[in-house]
This record gives sequence, C-alpha cells and structure tokens, in this order.
Amino acid sequence: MEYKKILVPVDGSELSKEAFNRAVYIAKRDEAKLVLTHIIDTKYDSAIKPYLDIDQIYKSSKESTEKMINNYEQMAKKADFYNLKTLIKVGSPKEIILEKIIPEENIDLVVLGATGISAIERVLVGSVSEGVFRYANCDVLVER
Amino acid sequence: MVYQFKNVLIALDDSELSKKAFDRAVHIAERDKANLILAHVVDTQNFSIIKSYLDNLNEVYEKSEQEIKEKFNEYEKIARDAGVFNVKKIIKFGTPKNVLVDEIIPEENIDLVVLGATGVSGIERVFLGSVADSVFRHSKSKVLVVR
Repeated sequence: MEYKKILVPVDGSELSKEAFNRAVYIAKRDEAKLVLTHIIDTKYDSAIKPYLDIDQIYKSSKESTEKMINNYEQMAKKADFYNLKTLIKVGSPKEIILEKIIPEENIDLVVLGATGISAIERVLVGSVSEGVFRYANCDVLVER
Repeated sequence: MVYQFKNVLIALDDSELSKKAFDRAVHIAERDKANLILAHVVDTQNFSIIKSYLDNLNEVYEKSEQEIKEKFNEYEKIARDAGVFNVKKIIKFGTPKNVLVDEIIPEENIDLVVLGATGVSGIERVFLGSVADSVFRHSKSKVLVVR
C-alpha cells in the first residue's frame, strides 16, 4: 500500500508549503521518491502582452521561481529527506501536470493545496487543483 | 504539525463501495490509530419520483437502510480484522453532498475524507463528480481520491 512516486506541485503559497511538508512526511514513511514541480503559468500571457514586456516577466519569474524552489529544497534537507527531484516548466500548469509529468514520472500520488497563490486561483477555489483532483489517473491528496 | 489523521471518513455514494478506496481508508486508519467512519446517505431524491406510486414510503426507506446496515457490518468486520479499533457507521437520508458536507463531516470532526473514483459509465462519473466536487470545494477536511 506504500506510495512510490509522489508529485507535489507548488506555487510558493503557505498552503503549498503545508502540502510539501505532508508530501515529505509521506515520502519518508513510504520510502518514496518525491518530485517537486513549479510551472510558470503562461495562461494569461495574451491578456497582459499588450501592456507588459513578456520577456522581462519571464526573467523575473525565473528568478523568483529559483528562489522558491531553493526554499523547498532547504525544507526537505531540514526534514532529513534527500530523495527529491525538481522540475520547472513553462506553460499551462494543469496540462503539464496531467499530460506530461504524471505519466512521464509514473506518479502514484499527487499532494497539493486546495487553493493557489494568485487572486484568480483563490476566487476559483484553485482551478489547477480542481483539474488535477478530477482528472489525474492516480491518487490525489488535497491539503487545506 | 500533526501528520496523523484522527477521523477518517469513507463514504458510499450508492450501494457499491470502491474496494481500493476502502482498503486505503482502512490502511490509513490502522496506521494512524484513527477512527474510521463509514457513511452512507440515502438519496431521497431518487424516491421522489416514485413517491406517488407507493403506499408506504417508510417501508422502502427501512428496506434501504437495512440493506446498507448489512453491508456496513461486513465492512466493519474487515476493518476490525485489519486492526482498526474504532469503526462508526452512519446512515442518513437526504441529498448526499449536502448531508456529507453540512452534517456528517463537521459533526464527526472528519479530518480526511477518502473517496473512490468509481464510474465506468459517463453518468456514474458525473454523479460521483458532484459529491467529490462538493467535498473538495466546501468541506474543511483534507480529501484523498483513490484511483
């Protein structure tokens, strides 16, 4: 009944941190591998393109992403957990998680927060988490 | 932060139970020394259509309840044999997603709801989807969907 490969998609929100901690706890207990992922969301590009420099946004996105991932890696180290792999992608989070990462990495459990960090995610009760919860073909644990 | 669960709920949406979800709920309850709560809500909307043809709706409800009770006794035995100390059985009447989210989950202090993703047909998936969706959106407990 032990899980073997756990995916934890994060976005730097407090809830993501809780989901990450839970994922580490499960991974340690089950001796599973942990895959940490953050996807830089391009969904709203066409809306903001006329107003802002996309390349500049990607550049600062990349920097803050690297900082965020570093944070999580530190949290894992503190918990004495080292079987961690990180994937940073650019695109539509739901698509990439469902259609690429879960099958390619043979994920058997996804742990994620119910809501996300952006204002839109909070209003829509986490459209990414809802999509993953509904359509993933593996177990999904929703943290809140 | 406490990672062990205290009150694990496994809900039956209809008379069938996802075995995988049940096994997982039992595994978690045994491992975390948690209470296992088996719950079923008899969907009274199903009966509203045939209500006018029945002389005694209560008899039909009682028969439903009896069938569920028998199934629950079987599941309880399996859980206890696997080492779960505390098994509680709840049968209520009403609209499943409302009763689960507004009554059972808060009353029993459920911290984890385990849901099976059954559904071979498109219709079943929609039905399960709406209960799972309600729990996901509105309850304060964590939710584990088992596939």
